[in-house]
Amino acid sequence: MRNKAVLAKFVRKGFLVFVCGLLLFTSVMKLVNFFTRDPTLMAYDPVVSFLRKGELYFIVACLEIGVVGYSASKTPFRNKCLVIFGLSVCFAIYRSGIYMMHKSNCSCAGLWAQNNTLIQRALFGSLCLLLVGSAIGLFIPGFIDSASNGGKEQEQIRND
Amino acid sequence: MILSVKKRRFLASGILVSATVLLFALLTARSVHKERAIEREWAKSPAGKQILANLTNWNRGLFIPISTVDKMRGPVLKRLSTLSGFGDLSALQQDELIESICHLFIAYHSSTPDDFLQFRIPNSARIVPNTYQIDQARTSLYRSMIPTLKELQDAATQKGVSMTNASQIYNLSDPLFVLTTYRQLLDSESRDPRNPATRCVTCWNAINFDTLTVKIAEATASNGVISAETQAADQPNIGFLDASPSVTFHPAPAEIIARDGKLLYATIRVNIQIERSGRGIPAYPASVLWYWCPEMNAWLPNELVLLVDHVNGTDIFF
Repeated sequence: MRNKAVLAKFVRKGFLVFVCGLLLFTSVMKLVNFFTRDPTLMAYDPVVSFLRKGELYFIVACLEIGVVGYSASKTPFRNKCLVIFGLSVCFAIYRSGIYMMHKSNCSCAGLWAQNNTLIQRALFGSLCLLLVGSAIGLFIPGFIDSASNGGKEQEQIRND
Repeated sequence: MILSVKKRRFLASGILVSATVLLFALLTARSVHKERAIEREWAKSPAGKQILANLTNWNRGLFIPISTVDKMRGPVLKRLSTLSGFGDLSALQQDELIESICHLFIAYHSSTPDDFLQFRIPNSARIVPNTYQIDQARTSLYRSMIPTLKELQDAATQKGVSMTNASQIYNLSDPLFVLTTYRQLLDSESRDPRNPATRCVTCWNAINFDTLTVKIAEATASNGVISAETQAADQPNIGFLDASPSVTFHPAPAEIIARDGKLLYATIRVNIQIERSGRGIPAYPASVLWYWCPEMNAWLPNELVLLVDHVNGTDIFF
């Protein structure tokens, strides 16, 4: 029992660390592109067509940093999963939009990653992990810590 | 049922997040719808209709996959022997033209340096010194883009390709090595199916031999040199991609005309299918112009013109 509780805590923390690391990485890459004022960022985004790519980069980078901050705060794990799930669904919708428009690869980690097959695959895999992980944490919170008595946040929610 | 403060907060956050996601989904759907409407409008416009009609027309008929020179020789000979003008050539010129056409198909089908060289610099031009010249400025540019020997070997190892004699042929001061290596890199990069950002327009898959035509023309001092683009301009096209040559020969067309007073040109036009297409229809015509060099007894390729306009120019290598 005790081991399972420790494992559940470890999985939750691991997931949050992964989320924070990934979002920090992509937001920094976007901000770097934004501040270097790459001319390609002057074009309008194909999906959010009323914003220029650069403006969208800045907004999304700020949003990602906000989610990182929220994930690092002391709010309940399920609430964090809700926010992460919302963001990853938006990312998934954006990717689907690009795919349906037959546009080029997603520049989700900045322009440098746009034509890098390895990075594209890694980002797609990471997005799937974000979606699945946050969905599990959100919709089946007992999945991770069903056997544990140590999931204090979940216990608190249940008691409330 | 009265919900606790935390549950109410969670519910409120849920509603907020769901609303944002829904809004974003609607926005994306609108953009996709708008984009498709633009595509439909374009297809309905006179220019769009004309382009689609041309592409559809070029894609009709029997396309035979490009294989080897030996297998291509038969269909090329069969087709050329039915065309007027071809019979006026001498037996040697006919044989050389058939070989040159076969090597052209193989060169733009295969990524190997040897196949490209066979087409671009015929054997007779390669064995005589100072008969061909590789663009110096371009060679310097390509040289800076070629990876080191170790990087090339590592890439080959990853792909499971043997590079046993790589260290002997790796020579950045050799323009031929620079040219063919760069072309190979460009080709393999643009052929990468995982990378949809690049479209390889000179990655030919199949040929429609029924569309193969050859025009033999003689240029004289009075009418001057002939251009493939000028010859193709009166045919159905959707623009032109005229690749500037990376190799030029000595004697050049103007030199032969000045010396002999005349020069024989052969221009072919054929519909080819490519590996990737911009508008979903993978066929377009290609036109190549050769001139006859009497002292080398060879047709020297002078121009490659693709009758399309919408593709990535960096993919064209001639």
